[in-house]
Amino acid sequence: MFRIRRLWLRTFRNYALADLALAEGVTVFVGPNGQGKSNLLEAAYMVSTGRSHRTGQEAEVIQRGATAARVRAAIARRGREEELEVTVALEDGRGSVRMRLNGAPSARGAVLGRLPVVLAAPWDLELVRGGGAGRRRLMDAALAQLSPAYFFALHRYHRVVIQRNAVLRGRAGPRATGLEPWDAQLVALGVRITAHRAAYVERLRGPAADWFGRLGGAGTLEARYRPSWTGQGDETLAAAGRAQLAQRRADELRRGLTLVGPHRDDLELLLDGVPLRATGSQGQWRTAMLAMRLAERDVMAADLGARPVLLLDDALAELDPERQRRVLDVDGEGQVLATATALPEAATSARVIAVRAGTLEEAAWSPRSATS
Amino acid sequence: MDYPGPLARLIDELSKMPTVGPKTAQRLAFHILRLPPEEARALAEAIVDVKAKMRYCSVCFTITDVDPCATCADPARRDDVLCVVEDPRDVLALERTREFRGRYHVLHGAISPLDGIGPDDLKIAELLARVRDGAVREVIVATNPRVEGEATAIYLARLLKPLGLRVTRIAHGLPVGGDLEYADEVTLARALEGRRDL
Repeated sequence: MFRIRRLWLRTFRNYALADLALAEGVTVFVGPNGQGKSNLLEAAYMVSTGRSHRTGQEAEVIQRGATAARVRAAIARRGREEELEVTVALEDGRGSVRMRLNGAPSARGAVLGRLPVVLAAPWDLELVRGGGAGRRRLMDAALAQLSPAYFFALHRYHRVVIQRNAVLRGRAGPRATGLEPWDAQLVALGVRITAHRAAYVERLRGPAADWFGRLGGAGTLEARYRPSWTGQGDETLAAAGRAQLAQRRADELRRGLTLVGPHRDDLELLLDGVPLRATGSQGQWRTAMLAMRLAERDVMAADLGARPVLLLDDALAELDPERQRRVLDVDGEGQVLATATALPEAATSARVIAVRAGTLEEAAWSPRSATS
Repeated sequence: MDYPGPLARLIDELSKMPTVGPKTAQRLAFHILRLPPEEARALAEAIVDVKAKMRYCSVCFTITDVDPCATCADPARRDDVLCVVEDPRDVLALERTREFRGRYHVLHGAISPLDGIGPDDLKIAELLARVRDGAVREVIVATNPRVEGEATAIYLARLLKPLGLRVTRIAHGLPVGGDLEYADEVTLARALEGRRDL
């Protein structure tokens, strides 16, 4: 069981101060656009992952005139009460992120997965039309929460790529050490990342296709991992990695960049066998991405033995009530925080909180207000 | 109001120390001001002494006040095992275990292309000269578990193995005395990664 019991925000986006008690089940934040509904979900996402899903410049979350933004969450995790905190402080014009776990300063890797979350947001559409980086992040965000070993390997892998690029650019004198010490680590870590991602996408495929159908998507959605290195078993993968490194060496030296490895992987989304981005309407893209996120939740729930907290940012608007019901159904187990400009019809048993200009107010549910 | 010259100078010097901010520097300076003259002198002499007398050992490159250092000069230690570390502090940490009875070699860093640090910036040529003398049979690479330390270890293995030496790497994993239940996940994951057959 994973729950946010209380969320506390200080000079975070348009909230000077907010203190919000949250119940289990479904909570819907309702209000016109630009009032701060999404900021609440962003805060919940940040306190659990240390990252914003909307920006790579974390300083953006700091309220104007303030020098730091802080989010604290009281959570329930497998029957234990814990506290997570994230602070984004301005340092030399950039946002530096620090996390705490139960009051003690903690590395991001130690906090990730404490409060597993899945977030669906309008931004997800960029994952269809954008480059591979966003889709790699889709795999990494779930895996990093599920497996500390994965986070650890990925973290080291990125460091190896940076160091290796410096060798390729000849920064350490005349290629002093050669590439071997870095190639060995690139391959070893890369193999583990590839294996994790392959296994994860394999498990994601079924639920993603199911959800696409249940949400009314026309056609068959297929998620397919496109690894840089292919092969059965670690040894074959490693051999593939080494072969590619040998083959691209001249290119890499010329461009001063590591061109080979899982940092160039992709996750392909296909609709009836055709790349989604080349087909389908925006509506279908939206349905496909929501299906991917719900599949992510299913896979995480199977691994964790309990559902992660689901954050739905403006994800219900285009669904009919029956499909909204399918998304919001928590089987009496799990927590969903959703935003909407109008109360979704299916949210009959939801707790409703009205959001207006950074203030929060409990609202009685009224079917009238949903349609007016 | 500014502090009078000598006090201001002391605060200034103290605030250059790592982790010492202006407030701490002030507190330390006033503490020193109130010390009995002989204690203040002892502190000043200790500072002058450490600069005058501490140097790097010409054999293993750890910090020492006598050259060669006590470890290098100790006839009771084994000459056939050499432990390579990044920093003099690592020598002290390993010595506290009282487990290792061989010799040390301090590299003074790890390979980091990003910072422009290559093998020539480390005491690697000196290490090669030492092992070529012949007594050493095994080199234990105890560089840090970061990717830079790992790269250094791989690089050293490539240089040393062709010389007919046994090259080993220290294991990284669980702190002893720690219960599995309370170990953080990353440490556990790393320990799993470094598992051995029984």
